[in-house]
Amino acid sequence: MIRVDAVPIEPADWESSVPERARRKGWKYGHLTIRRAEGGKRLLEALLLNLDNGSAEIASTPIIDGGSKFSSVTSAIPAAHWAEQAVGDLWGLHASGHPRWKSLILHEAWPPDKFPFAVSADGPPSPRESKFLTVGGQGVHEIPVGPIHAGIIEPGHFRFSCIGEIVANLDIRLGYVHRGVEARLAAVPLRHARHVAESASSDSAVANALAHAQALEDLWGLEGPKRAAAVRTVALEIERVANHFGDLGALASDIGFALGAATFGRLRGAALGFGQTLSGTRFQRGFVCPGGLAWEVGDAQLRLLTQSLSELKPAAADACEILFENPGVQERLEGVGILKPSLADEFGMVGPTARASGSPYDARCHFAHALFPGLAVDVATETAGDAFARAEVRRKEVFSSLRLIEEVLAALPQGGSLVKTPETLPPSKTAIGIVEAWRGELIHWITTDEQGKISRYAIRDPSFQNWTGVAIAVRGNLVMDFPLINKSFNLSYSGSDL
Amino acid sequence: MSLAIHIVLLIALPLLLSCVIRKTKALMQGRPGPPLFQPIFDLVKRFRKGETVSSTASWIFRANPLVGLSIALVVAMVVPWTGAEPLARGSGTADLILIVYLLAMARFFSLLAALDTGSAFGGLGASREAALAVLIEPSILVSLSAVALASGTMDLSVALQSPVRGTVALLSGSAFLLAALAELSRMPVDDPTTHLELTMIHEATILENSGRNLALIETTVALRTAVFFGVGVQILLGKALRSPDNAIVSAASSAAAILMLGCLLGVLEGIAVKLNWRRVPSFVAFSTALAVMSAFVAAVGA
Repeated sequence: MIRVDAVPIEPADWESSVPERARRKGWKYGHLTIRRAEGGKRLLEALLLNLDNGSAEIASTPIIDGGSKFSSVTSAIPAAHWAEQAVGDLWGLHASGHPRWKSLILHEAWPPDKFPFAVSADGPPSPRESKFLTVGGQGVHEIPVGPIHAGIIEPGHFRFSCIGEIVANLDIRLGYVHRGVEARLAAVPLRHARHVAESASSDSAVANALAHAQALEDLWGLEGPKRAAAVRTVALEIERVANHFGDLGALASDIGFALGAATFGRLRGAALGFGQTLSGTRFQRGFVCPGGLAWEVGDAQLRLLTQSLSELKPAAADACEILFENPGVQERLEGVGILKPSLADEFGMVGPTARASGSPYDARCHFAHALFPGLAVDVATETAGDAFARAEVRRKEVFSSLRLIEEVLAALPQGGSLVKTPETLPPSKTAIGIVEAWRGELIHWITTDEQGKISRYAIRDPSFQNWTGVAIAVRGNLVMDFPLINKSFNLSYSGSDL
Repeated sequence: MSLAIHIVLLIALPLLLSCVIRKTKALMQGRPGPPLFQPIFDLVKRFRKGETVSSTASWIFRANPLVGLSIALVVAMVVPWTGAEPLARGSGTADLILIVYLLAMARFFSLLAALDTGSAFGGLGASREAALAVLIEPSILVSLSAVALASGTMDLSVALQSPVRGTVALLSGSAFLLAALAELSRMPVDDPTTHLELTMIHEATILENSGRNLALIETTVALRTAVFFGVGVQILLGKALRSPDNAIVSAASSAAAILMLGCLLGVLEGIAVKLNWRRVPSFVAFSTALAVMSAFVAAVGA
């Protein structure tokens, strides 16, 4: 259960008060968005997280009727710069004082008068601006890449400004997979919502389903069965292991190391197989649901899982030796795509990216989800902030996750895995679900109106924070190393575009 | 008779070599890989497909594959890379300088064609390939010159078939093969199987080619690979492979050696890591140093 306190703030104080509250010791910035309160009023809200006691507070201030502006906090909290741009796109508002104002997800390809969340009573929307940062000077040339890529990956446009083979600046434009997930979540019947929530970024199906379930359970004030919590932990860690294997394999393939790519590809397949053993589907979709688990896990499956786990561990250790002990691999990964700890912290990096740049933050140690924070997690940190550090963090996390899975499976509580959940939600309440997904801190933030309907469902995918890290890390590197640097972050395009 | 063998090998070996490389690479990664002859099936498929040509492309783009293939065929016909007797042996047609710069002309056209489409990747690839060509040229030229020096003739059709001292053969042969890896855009300099445009060298220059156009280029690449490997094998092992009175035996042993080299490349591509672009010059410098040493030995020891 994550306690959420409301902190109303006067519009005039917003710019000074929010950064002040976010900078208190033990607190961090979570997300920033707008919701529609009673009577159609727009409320600007900032979610701040308290790491010391695993609680949260929501600072809110009204947007003046007919207004098309709000004051930006980006100069003081750089981590909020994308969130403010997204608000601009979706609500037709301008963040005054934002150091680099431009549209984020609804760019030129979208109709210029389309503001999905704006209504006519809000007054005239503030027009969007789409522009790339241009780099001047002799010999600077631009390389446009995407949105359609050669591999089977998500669409995104990358605009490089280069001096010879060196990247001077990278502008990232996402927004090619905008599906209106947040709006859909507030519209669909509650029993269908979990399937939509999972699709926010389907490679993190368990994490999204879990954050969704935790938030709804908090709204109801309900606690799922112990067995469900334990199995959810296993499901979440399996997802982490499978994706980390996939990432390490992709890193190997990006430096042309075919042996490493094939080896880790096989391991990823094995880890996805665990997902199938546990939940019946390789990506574990539809498994975690509000109230517990959608179906029971039998003892035979659990025995099979424990057995295949013990077979995977030595194989994983061998594979890591092939990759990490190879001098060629070390040479290609070390010192490439450095994200300095100070910048990682300022721009609010989360997950393995943050931990590779020295941050000790892991949501599993602070916020209630599944068996966490009751379960001891070895937080994997590195300080170099380069591609090698990000790979190293993943390697460490694979083994600590495997250990966690074994630990949880060894002491799995008996009993049912599902409690009955109410048909409706309590009115005028707010709850958040925070999960350490394999990419990092994932937030589902639900607010209900007076009728007990979801009035705003906001999702803060870890990728939404970390994309800025890619743009920073690639500066001054070889253009040729960009795919490698990008893969060392491996962010979700769809998760940042809801 | 010997010329007929040369022509048969010229047609069969390049295709077979690409099959062997691909299969070995797959086996090295611990997977069965596609059927052995898949590269040939792919080539046939591409020859039967239509092509898409950028609207900004001029005649150079269409002519490039034909220029490349013609030059590769001429070189393959006159250079005794198969161990059998090439066309016009001893007539001076296979002059060292002529051959090296014929290949350079083919590259010149491929770079122009890459720039021709106006795609950002074409320009990127062309600039990288040009930089690489500048690095490789001395190594290829000097290693072949060492053989010419040792055998007393600039005509490759004679030089490659005359007995050369072991030290010169070893040094110039290894220098030539190392440079060939870079020249042919193979690992560890370039990853021919990558789909990541930004990391490509050679592949970036042919991204806009499709269908028949692409099939011609791939045929050329296969032919060039076989010729370079063949020349390397002749320099390194020529003495051992030649059997003076039986053309079939010398050709068969040369072909076997070329395919073995293909297996070696497959193994290398399976386990190697692509070099950082900044380290490529030192890789080529290593080959150049070997070439210079071989030329020194050939000049002093002759």
